[in-house]
Amino acid sequence: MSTELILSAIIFIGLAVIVPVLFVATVIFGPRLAGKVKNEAYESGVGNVIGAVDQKFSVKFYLLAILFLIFDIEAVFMYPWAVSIRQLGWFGFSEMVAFMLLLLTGLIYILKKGVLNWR
Amino acid sequence: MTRDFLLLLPLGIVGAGAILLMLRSALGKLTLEAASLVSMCVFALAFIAQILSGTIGHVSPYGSVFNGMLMVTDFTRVAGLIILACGFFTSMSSQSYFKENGFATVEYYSLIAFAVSGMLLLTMSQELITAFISLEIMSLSIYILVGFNRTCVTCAEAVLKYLMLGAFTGAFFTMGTALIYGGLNSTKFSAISTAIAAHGFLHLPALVGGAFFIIVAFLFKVAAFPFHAWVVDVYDGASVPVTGFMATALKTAVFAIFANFLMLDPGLKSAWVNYLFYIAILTMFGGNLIAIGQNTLKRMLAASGIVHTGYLLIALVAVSADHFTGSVILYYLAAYAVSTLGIFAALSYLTGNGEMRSQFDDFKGLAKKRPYSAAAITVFLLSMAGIPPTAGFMGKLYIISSAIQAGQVTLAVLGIVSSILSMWYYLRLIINMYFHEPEETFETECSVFGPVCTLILAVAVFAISLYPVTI
Repeated sequence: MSTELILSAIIFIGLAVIVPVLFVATVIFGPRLAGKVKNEAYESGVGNVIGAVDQKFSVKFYLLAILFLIFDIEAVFMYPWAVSIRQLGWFGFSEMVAFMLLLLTGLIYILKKGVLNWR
Repeated sequence: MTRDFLLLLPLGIVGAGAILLMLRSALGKLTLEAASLVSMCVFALAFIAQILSGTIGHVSPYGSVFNGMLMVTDFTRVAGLIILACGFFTSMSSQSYFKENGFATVEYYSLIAFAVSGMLLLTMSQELITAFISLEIMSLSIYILVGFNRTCVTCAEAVLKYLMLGAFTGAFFTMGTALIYGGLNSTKFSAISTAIAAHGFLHLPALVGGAFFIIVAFLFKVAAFPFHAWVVDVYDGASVPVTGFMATALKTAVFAIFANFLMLDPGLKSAWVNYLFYIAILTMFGGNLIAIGQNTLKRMLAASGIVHTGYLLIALVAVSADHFTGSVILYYLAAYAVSTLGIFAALSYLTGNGEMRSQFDDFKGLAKKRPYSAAAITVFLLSMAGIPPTAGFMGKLYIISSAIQAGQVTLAVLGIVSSILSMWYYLRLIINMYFHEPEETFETECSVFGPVCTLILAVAVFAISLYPVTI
């Protein structure tokens, strides 16, 4: 058996031991402060989580989610390109530049429209 | 290399024009009139580029780069010309429409250009994923265009219906693609046709299922019989130029890919002919029944669009998959596009602020007050009904004679019956315009573009009827 395999097995076994020990240690030694604010449910940006569900959300959350998706996909697309950039050469580089320029026009558009301006 | 560049140049011009308009709208230095002029120039340039590429034969542009996913033939080239002309005349009539209705922004023209670039890609695509992406580029732009008037309730209803049903269609299309990929290990049209030639269509169950889902998606987009219910409400809710654009350019693009897909192999086509036969009949007569009951002009035109889809399905049934040219389909699409765009161009400056004139009764006595507009509308209606010497008549003549040549005499006879039935609602508007006393002045504040656009299209109705087609 190779040494790498043994090493990785030891790391996993170590994790399996350390994590429960830390959990238990937090319960025993950690400070416990209970307050009203701390016990409230937290949902990003929404005031009262408990109650009627037909409340209005700001459209900014959706816009931000869509923008995140666009640039997330750009990043996902760049990983396989970056791995094989030497095989793809200048052709692959120019294709990626064209793709990023197109996304850049989208970014300029949303910046000028004030989508990221939250006030 | 230059040849491939020229083949994709129209797509590039329209895409670049769309991005340019989008950026200019964000920078806010462009008036609406200027934006419509820019988009008209973009479409005209792309149209010229498309014509210049006409001498090049059937080729796959940048075959190695795009892996043979795109294919340019004479069929796709002419379909592209029709789509670009639709974009041009829509921009032109929108300019008049937005003199009276103030909800437009520069993005409106940018979205039309994006939709056209998706349509051009759709006509050329020879691969299912490419077809799906271009279908979505087209659909997403059109969803926004339908709901562009955010203060209007019927627009919101229209866009919600269209978005929901369109999303279903997208799901059907991807399901079909997944089945075909599962069965054949490829999504390319060439691979599908090789597989059918080797095994026979009915011996490939995944392909049968996949083709079913994909054809359902196409039938939905062209509003054929079992999937036609959305069209009346959506066309009614959209603003006049957008309705004209949807009815013509979208139908042309989807029929182009529909024909390309169906003509892959004679086996695929002959398996579907029997179903398309009944779908064509039900589409024509269902559309006629819906159209007869309508009191609103836009709803009537939407329902008559269903009937014209039925005629185009006759043409699809009749074409032979062995030597496919698609000239009859394209001729009818061009004739239908010219008359429909023309009537919507006339309506875009006649309906007035907030589209206040929308019923048949609102156009009573139009001929007394605005004789030229009434005459142009009459020409377009007669062309849609199929009265000689208009383009619509020649289109119907070619479709019916091709059906008889293909041995589909039943379809030909039913097509003629349906054409006679459609007189009912086309003549109703003509009677209202000519045989009643005017109740109002029909004064509208409009630019010169709307009437000029109507005039050009009215001339085109006769010009296209002179163009000969070999069946």
